[in-house]
Amino acid sequence: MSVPPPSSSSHPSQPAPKPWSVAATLHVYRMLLGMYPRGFRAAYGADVLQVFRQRCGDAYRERGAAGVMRLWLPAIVDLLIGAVADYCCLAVEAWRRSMSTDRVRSSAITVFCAYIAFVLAGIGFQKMSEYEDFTQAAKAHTLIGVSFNVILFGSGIALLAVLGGGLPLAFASLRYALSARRTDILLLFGVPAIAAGALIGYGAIIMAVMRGQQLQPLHIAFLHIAFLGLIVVLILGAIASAAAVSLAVKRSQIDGNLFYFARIPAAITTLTMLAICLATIVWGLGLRFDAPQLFNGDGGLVATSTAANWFGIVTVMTIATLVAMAGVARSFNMPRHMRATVA
Amino acid sequence: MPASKNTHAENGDPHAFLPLTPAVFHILLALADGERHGYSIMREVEVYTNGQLKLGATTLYRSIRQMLAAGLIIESDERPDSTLDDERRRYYRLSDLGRQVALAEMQRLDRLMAVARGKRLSLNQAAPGITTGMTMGGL
Repeated sequence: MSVPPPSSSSHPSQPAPKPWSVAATLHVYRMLLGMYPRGFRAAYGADVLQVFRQRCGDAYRERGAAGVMRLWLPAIVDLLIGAVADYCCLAVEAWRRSMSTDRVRSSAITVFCAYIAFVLAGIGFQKMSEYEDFTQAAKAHTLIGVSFNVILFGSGIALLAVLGGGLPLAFASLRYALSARRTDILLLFGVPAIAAGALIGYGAIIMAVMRGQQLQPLHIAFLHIAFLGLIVVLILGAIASAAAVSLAVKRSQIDGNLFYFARIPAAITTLTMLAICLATIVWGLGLRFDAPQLFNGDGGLVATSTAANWFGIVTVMTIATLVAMAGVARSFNMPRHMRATVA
Repeated sequence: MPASKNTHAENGDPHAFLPLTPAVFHILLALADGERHGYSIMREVEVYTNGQLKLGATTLYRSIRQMLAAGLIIESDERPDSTLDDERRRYYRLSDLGRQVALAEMQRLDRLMAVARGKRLSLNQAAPGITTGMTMGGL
């Protein structure tokens, strides 16, 4: 068989009719190339085919159909090994991405839940310290006054930081739920509204029952029990709301950059929680030394011990702050390759 | 590639890329003389290894993709002569980093060869089928 010389590598391929061996080989090769991930095919599929077409053309010119057949085994091995390697790379990349996104996502949720627990303790503190005796003590003693102001100022900053980091996530989650028609996520976002409704309804029932009643000892006991019930409703509602919103965010497909951004407000929230926690400790110690009659009195919730209430509030705040610090530290200590996959 | 190695590579440290895979090193060598398109790279490698190494088409382009991402090579906008060539062809050339990485790999292999020579291995003791040409081509 007379075989033409190999073509020059830099010349364009001639649009001459292809021999059947080349045409069949290219057809099979094109089909096998379909095994590759879409990204590779889109970027390099045409180049790969062009190179293989030229290789087939040269092989045919050198050795005829037998030369083309000799390309089959190495080409199939090359295709199979490359496809497996490409899919392995994609799987590793997807795993890294999910690990890193899960990490910042769980950190944001951890800080949010810790903040809710912190707010509950803060509400307890606010209820305890709203009485005239405590406000007078804050005015009379610098340590108590300064620490009280730090708590007030810090509460505002923490709330703004949580809104700054949390609202974009909540909106992104809602947008995803609406676009993907995920009713389960939309229902989860309804839980805080239901919890708020339950709290308002409970308060309204108590008000209706007590309206026009003279405060007899029995009524006072009922009020105490009703107030404890209100606290239970508040705590349960807060837990249910935090869990529902966290679950909604967790179930949503949200851009990793949003979680990456949320680390900054989360860090601000955590630092503010730490400052408030320390200020609450200082407030209690200041009260203990400057106004012991108040500290040792029964100015706590439902006329219970002020000292016990303060200790309970400080304990909850400390645990919540430590949990939030762990969450923030986890999100900032991501390995570099994880950060790259998030961004 | 481990995370620490990735970090050095991102900082442009040529040694962070070593050791290179045979395909990557051969592509760098093929591009050392100037820019080439995919099939030209493949032919060049085949020629200077005396046909011992034939890069598969997908191996070639998977390596090219990886090298472009790492900044070792650059896709060239210029064409030697558009009338003689297919306009769809993409040409590649070495980047400065790619040249440094190729040199670093050569130095690494030089040191390895010096160690091998120190072990008093003789090419006469080589296993059947292994020739000087192949050894040089492998380098």
